Amino acid sequence: MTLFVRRRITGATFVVVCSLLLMATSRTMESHLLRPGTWLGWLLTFSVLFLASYRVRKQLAMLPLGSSAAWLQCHVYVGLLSLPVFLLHAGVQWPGGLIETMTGLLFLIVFCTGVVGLILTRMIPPRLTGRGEEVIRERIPVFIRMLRDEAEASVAGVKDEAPSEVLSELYLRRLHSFFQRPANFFSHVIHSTKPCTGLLNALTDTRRFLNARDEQTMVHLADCVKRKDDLDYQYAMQSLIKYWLLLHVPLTWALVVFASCHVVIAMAYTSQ
Amino acid sequence: MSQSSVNQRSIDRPRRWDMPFSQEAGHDSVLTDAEIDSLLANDAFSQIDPAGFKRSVPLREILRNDVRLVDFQRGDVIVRHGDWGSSAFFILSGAARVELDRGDDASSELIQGRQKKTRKTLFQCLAQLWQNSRHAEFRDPDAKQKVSGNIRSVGGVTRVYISDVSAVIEHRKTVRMDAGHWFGELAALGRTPRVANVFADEKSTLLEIRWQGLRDILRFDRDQGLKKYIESVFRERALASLLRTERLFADISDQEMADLMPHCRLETFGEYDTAKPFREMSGDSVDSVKNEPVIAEEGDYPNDIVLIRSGVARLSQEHHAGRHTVGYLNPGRVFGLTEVLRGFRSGQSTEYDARLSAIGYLNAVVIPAKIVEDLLRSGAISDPEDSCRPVTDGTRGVVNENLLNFLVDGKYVQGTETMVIDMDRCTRCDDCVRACSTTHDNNPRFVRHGPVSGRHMVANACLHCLDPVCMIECPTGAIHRDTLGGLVLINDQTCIGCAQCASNCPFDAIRMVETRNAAGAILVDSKNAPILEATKCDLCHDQLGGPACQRACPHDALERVDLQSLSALEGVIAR
Amino acid sequence: MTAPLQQFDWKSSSYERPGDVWVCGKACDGRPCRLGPSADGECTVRSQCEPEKVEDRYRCTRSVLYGGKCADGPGTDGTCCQADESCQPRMSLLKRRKVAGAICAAISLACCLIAFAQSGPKSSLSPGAIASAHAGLETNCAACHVAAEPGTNLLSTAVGLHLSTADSEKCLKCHHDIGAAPFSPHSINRQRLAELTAGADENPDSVRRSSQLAAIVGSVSSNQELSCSVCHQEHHGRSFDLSTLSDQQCQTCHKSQFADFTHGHPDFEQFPHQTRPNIYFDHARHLNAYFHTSDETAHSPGAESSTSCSTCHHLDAGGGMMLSADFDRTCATCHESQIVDLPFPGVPFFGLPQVTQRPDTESGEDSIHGNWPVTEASLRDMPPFMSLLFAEADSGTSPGGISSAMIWQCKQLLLQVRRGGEMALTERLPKEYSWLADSFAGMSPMLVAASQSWFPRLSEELAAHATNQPLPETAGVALPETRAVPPTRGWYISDIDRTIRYRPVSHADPVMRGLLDNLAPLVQGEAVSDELLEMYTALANPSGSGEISRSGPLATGRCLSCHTTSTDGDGVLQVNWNTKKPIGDAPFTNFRHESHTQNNNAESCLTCHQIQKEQQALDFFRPEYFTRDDLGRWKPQTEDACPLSSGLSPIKRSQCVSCHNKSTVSQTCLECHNYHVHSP
Repeated sequence: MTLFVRRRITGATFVVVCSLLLMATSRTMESHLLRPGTWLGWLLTFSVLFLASYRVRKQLAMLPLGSSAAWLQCHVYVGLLSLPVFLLHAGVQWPGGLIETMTGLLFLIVFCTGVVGLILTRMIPPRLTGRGEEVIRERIPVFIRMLRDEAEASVAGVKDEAPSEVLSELYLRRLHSFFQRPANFFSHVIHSTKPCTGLLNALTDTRRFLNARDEQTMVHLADCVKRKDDLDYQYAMQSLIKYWLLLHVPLTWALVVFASCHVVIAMAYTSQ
Repeated sequence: MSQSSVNQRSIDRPRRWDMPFSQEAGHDSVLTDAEIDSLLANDAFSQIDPAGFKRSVPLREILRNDVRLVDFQRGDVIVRHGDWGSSAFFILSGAARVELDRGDDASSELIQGRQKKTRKTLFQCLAQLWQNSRHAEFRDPDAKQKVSGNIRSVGGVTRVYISDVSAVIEHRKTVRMDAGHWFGELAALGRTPRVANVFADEKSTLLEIRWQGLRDILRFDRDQGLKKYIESVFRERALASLLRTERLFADISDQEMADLMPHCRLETFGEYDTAKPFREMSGDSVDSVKNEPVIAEEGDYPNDIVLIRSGVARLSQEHHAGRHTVGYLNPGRVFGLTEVLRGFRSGQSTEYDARLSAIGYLNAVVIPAKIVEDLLRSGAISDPEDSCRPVTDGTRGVVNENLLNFLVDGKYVQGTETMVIDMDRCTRCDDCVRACSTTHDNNPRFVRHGPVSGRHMVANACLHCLDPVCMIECPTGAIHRDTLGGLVLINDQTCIGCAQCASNCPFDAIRMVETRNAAGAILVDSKNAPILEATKCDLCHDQLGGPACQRACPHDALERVDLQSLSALEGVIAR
Repeated sequence: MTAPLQQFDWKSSSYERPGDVWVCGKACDGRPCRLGPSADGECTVRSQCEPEKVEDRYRCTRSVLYGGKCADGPGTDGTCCQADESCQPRMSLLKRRKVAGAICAAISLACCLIAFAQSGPKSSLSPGAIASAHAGLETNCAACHVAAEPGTNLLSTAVGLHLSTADSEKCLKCHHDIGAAPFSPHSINRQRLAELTAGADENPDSVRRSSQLAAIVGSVSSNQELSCSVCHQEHHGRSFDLSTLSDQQCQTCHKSQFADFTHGHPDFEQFPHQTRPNIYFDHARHLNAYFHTSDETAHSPGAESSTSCSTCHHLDAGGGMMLSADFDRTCATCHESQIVDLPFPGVPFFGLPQVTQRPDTESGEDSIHGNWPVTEASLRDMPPFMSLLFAEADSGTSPGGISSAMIWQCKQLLLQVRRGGEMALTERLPKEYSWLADSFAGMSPMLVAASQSWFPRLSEELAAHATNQPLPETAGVALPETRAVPPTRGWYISDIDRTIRYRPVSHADPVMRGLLDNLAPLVQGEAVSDELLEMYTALANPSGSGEISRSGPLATGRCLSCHTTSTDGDGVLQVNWNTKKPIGDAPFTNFRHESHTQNNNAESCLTCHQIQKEQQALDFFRPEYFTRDDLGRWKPQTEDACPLSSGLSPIKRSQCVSCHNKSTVSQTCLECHNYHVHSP
C-alpha cells in the first residue's frame, strides 16, 4: 500500500470516527441538558478559522509552519469533518434570519466548492500530463501565437508558390478564428473532441482538391490544429483547476465575516 | 541607501579581478609587489616559466589577484573534512598538521567550531512579508558599487581553532606538513570535498590560491612541474584516505596500505582541461551511451576494481541492438567489487555484469583485482560477506527504466537537490513559485517548466550538482559552493553578469536578470546597457525550514530529491 | 516529429512571476514583454531602449535580451525608432481573486452592520421562528433578550457580562406562577429539595455511563441557578414543542437513574396505601363478603340492585381524581343505623357518681350529704367533662366515688344552673376549655330538668346545709327498672344511672365533630393530661364493647372507628372527616382517571385496583392499628405509614407497563410527572 493510499484511508477513517464521536457526544450532551449547540458552534468556528488560515499559511511560505501538503491534508479532512459538525450544529432546521441564513448558505457553498475543487485537483492533473506538451498556463497565448504564425505561414506559402486556394479559403473560414485565442473551453471541460475532429475532417476533406505539395501543407496544418487543440485542452483544464478557487476563496472571507457576526449574536442572545 | 542612490542607474561594469582574492570574504590586504616578487622566488613558483602565460592572464597578475597570504596561529583550523573547498594552500612558513582520522565524531571539536550558516531569525523570516521589494530583481546599487569598486573589507573572518593541540596530536592520527608543501589542491581541482582536517601546527603563513588561479597555472605552465607534483602527491596523500572511504579497505594496516597504493592508478576519462563549454561537450544525442568512453566492458574478466573519485559513470547492459541503462555510479561508489568477490568465493572465473562508461569528465582510482584477491587471501582485509550492507557497486535495479535513462542521459543524476515534480499530482497552482518568490525578495528563482519523462518533470531549478559545471569559467568566483552543505550559491555582489554560468549549466537552472533600483528602474551601466546578474535556486539556505518550494507544495507533487542514491527517488515515486 | 513549443534556455524563457499583481496587457495576444509591467501596473516597454548620447549623436543601447541594437537606431532627437508598443497591463488571476475576496468580505460586513444597525424588530438576527405560543413576541426581541434592550452593548453581552438568568427573569413577567424559587430545580426551594433528596441513592453505579461521559464535558448542577432555556429552547419553529423533555434529560440531575418506565422505574409498593387512608374501609371484605351475599339489596350501598365501583366512586369535575360519594349515598345504607339506632347510652357529660363508702359512717349518711339519689348503675367517678367544672375545687373524688364535700358542690352547681342557666356552667370552665361552652349550652336545659327531678327540694336542702340545720327529707326519686332504649337522640337524662348523656343525632353529628376536632390536637405528644385522654377516649373509643373498665360501653365513640386521624402539614393531629385527601404542595405526579376509565365499569377499575384476595376475614380492628397505653387507654394513631389496608393490592407497575411501553403509548417521565411543582 502506498503512502498516499494509506493516508487517504487514515483520513477517511478519521473523518468517519470523528463524525460518529461527535454525533455521540452531541446526543449525550443533549440528553443531559448540556446544549451541544454552543459547543459545536465553537468547534465549527474554530474549524472554519483553521480552514481559512490555510490561505494565511500560503502567504507565510517563508515561515517553518509545516509543509503545505500536511496543511492541505488537514484542510481536506477537517473540511470534510466540518459538514457533520455543521449538520449537528444547525440540526435539520434551516435558520430564519438574514445572518443565520447567509452563514449557513455560505458554509454549504464553500463546502461544496471545496469538495468540487478537491475532485478537480485529483482528476485533472493526470489528464493534463497525458495530453500535449506540458506548458505553463500564462504562456499558452504565446504558444498559440507561435502556432498561428506557423499555420499562417504555411497557408501563405513560400514566395510565389502560394498553396491551393482551397486551403486558404478553409483557413479564413474556419481556422483563422480557431487560431486566434484559446477556444472550445466547454467542449474540453466535458472532454469532447468534436470541434477538433470537425476541423481535422474539414482539412482531410480537401485532399481530393490538392496536389502533393499542398497535401503536405494540409498535413502540416492538421498538425498545427492538433497541437493547438492540445493547448486549448491544457488551457481549459488549467483554467478550470484555478477557477474553482475564484468561488471558494472569496466566499470563505464572506463566510468568516458572517460567522463572526453569528458568534457575537449567539453569545449575546443565548442565556446559559 | 541615500536618496541619490535610489535613482542612480549608471555603475561600472563588473570585471574579473575587480575583487582580488586577498580581499574576498573578510580578508583585507593587498599583495604588494615585493610580496609577489618573493613569491615568485619561492620554490613553488620559481620553476614556472612566465612566458607560457597569455598576455591577458600573466602569472604575476594571477598571483596578485588569485592569491592571498593568510596567517594562522597554532591550532587554527585551515580546512575541514567535508568542506567544499575552492582553493589550494601552500605552506610558506611554519607547519600544518593533517588529521587522518575520519568521521564527524573523531573531530567533534572541529565540527563544533564550524562556522554556522547565517540563517534568518524567525522575525527576519516573517519580515519578508513587508520588507520584500515591490519591484522585481531589486539590488542595492550602493552595495554593488562598494564591492566592485573599492578596497574594503566586509566583516572579520571567523576562524575555528583547536584549544588543546597536543591532545589532538596525542590521540589522533596526524601527519605534520612542513613549509614547502601544497595541500588542498586535489579538492580544489577535482571539485571534490576536502578529505581531511588540517590545522596549523605552529604560527605559520600560508599562501592560498583560488582554483581559477591554480587552473590557469596548470594550464600555462610549460614543463608541467606542478601538475606532475600534484599527481605524485595525490598518490602519496589522498589515495590512502580515498581508499579508506571504501569499507573494504577501512581497516587495512598502514603497511599493507603502503604496499597497495603503488598498484593503484589514478585515471581520468573524458575531458577535464577542456575550455569548451560543458553543454557542447556533453551533447544530447540519443545514442550518447555508445559514444561515452568505456571504463570497463560488460562480459570482460574483472581485472580491476574502479573507485569513482569525481564525475558520474553509467552502468549499462547490452539489450538487443542497443544498451540498457541499469544504473549509475556517483563519486565514492565502487565498480567491479561484486564480481571480484564472487569470483574469490566461488573460485571460478567471472565477468563484469555491466559496462561502466564515463558520462563527461570522470576521475577514478583503479585497483587491480589481483591485489585485492591477494589481500583477501592473506587476511589483511576481510570478505565483507557477513556485512549486512550491500557492496557499493551502484544503484542497480531501478523500477522505471525510462525514468532512469531520462535521468542519466540528462545528467540529472548529478543533482543532490533535483526538483522532481509528479505531474499527476501537480495542479499547476504555482504555490511553489510564489513561495520561492516570497523567500527571495519577491523574485522566483526557478521556472516551473522543464523536460518531462512519463509523469515526472525535472523543473528548471538548480540541482546543486555534485560536479557543478556552472562554476567552470566563472571569472570572479561569484558562483561558489557553500562550504558546509555543498550548496552552489551565487554571490550577487561579485557577479558581473557575464552569463558564463547560465550558458554552462546543462539544466537551464541559471537565469540572467536585469537588476533594478528601489524605484523599479533597471540598473544600467555607463553605456545604458542593463546590468545583468546570474540568479538561481539557493535552496533557501538562509531561510528557516528548508526549501520553500517543497514546503509550499500542497499536493506532495514537488520534491527536492538527492539523486546520489536512487532510493530517495524510489521513495518519492513509490508513494 | 514536430519541434516542441517550449525552449527552456535562459535566453528564450525568463522567470514566470505568478505572484505578480499585474500582467502584460499583450500577454493574452501571445506577445508579452520580457520585462512585464512594473509593480505599480505601469507598462515598462519604453525602458527597453534608452538611446545613449555620445557627444552629439544618439546611440541605440538596446540589449540583446530585447533583440539587440536596432538597425535604424534612434532618431536625431534621441527618440527610439521602434513603434510605441506600450500596453495597458491587466490584473493577474490571483489578484482578481484577492479583489473578489475583499469585495465579498466588504459586502458581508456591510450586510452584517446593516443588520445590527436596524432600528426596528431585528428579524434579520433571528435564528428561526419562535413557537406559536410566543408568536406575539416575535418582533419584540427585548421581550425575552436582555441583549436586545436599547442601550445594551452587544459585544459586552456576548462576552458574558450579564447575569446568567437575566433573560429568564423576563420569562417570569408572563409566567409568574412558577413559584417562589423559579430557577431552582422543580421550582421548589432548596431546603425542601434537600429534604426530598436526602435519601437519594448516592450509589454511583446507578448513574448511567452516558451521564458519566457527559460529566466530562460539563454538567447541569442542581446547585446552580437553572435558566429557563436549559429545558425550553426557542427559535425552533412555530410548531416546536417547548416543553418536551426526554427521559434522560429529566434524569440529568437524578442520582438514581433508570432506562425507562418499563425498566427500572420504582414499583408502587405502597401506593395508594403509602399514606394513611381517611376512612377505614376494607374493600375486600365489603365487596367479597357483604355486597355479594344472597340478599344483595340489603347490603348494597344506596339500595341498588348491583354494586359497582361507580356506586361509591365518581370522577371529579376535572376528570383527574376519582372521588368517593358522600356518606348518605354510600355507607349510610348499612352503617347509619349503627350510628343512630343502636342502643348506645351515649356519652355521659354529667352524672351523680357513687358516694365514697366509709366504714365508720355506715348509718346516717343522709345527714352528711343529704339527698343524693344514686343508683346501682351510677358511675364510679364524675365524667371527665363534669370534672372540668370542678377543676378549681378540691378534687373530692377518689376511686370508687366522691366525697360529701364534692356532693355539696355539685348541688350548689345544680342550683346555680337552675337559676343562671348555661352561664353558670361556662363560667366555671377553665379558659383553655372554653370551646366546651357550645356543648354545655345544649346540656344546661337537661341539667335543669334533671336537678328538678332528682333534687326536688334542692334550694331548701342547700340553705339548710349552709346554716347547719337538719336537712329536709326527700322522697326517693323514681328509678326505672331497666335501662331502656334511649328515648331521644341528642341530650337526654338517663335516670337509671343518674347521668346526662349525649347521643349523636346522626352521622356527622356537629357536637361530636366539634368536640373531636378540638380535642384531637390536644392529645398529641407525650405530656397529655389524664383528663384530656379520658375525654378523648370517651368520645373516640372505638371499641364500644365495655372492655375498658372505666369508660364503659360508649359506642357513640365510633366516629374514629371509621375516620382516621393524621397530622396535617403543620404536624397537628386532625380527624379525617372527608374521604378525599387534600393534594399536597408538591404534586409531582399527574394521573387522570378519566383517561384510564373508558367504560367506567367495575372491570376497568379492578384492572388496576385489585382486591386483595388473601384477606378473607374481617381483620379490621387489628391490634396494631390501635395502640393503648399502660392503663389500657387508646392512644391516637398518628403515624402516616400505617399498615392499615384498604383491601386493595398495590397498583402493579406491570399493569401500567402493559399500556405504557415502548410500542404503545408514551412512557416518558412527563407522561405522569410534573416538573414545575407549584400551585396551579
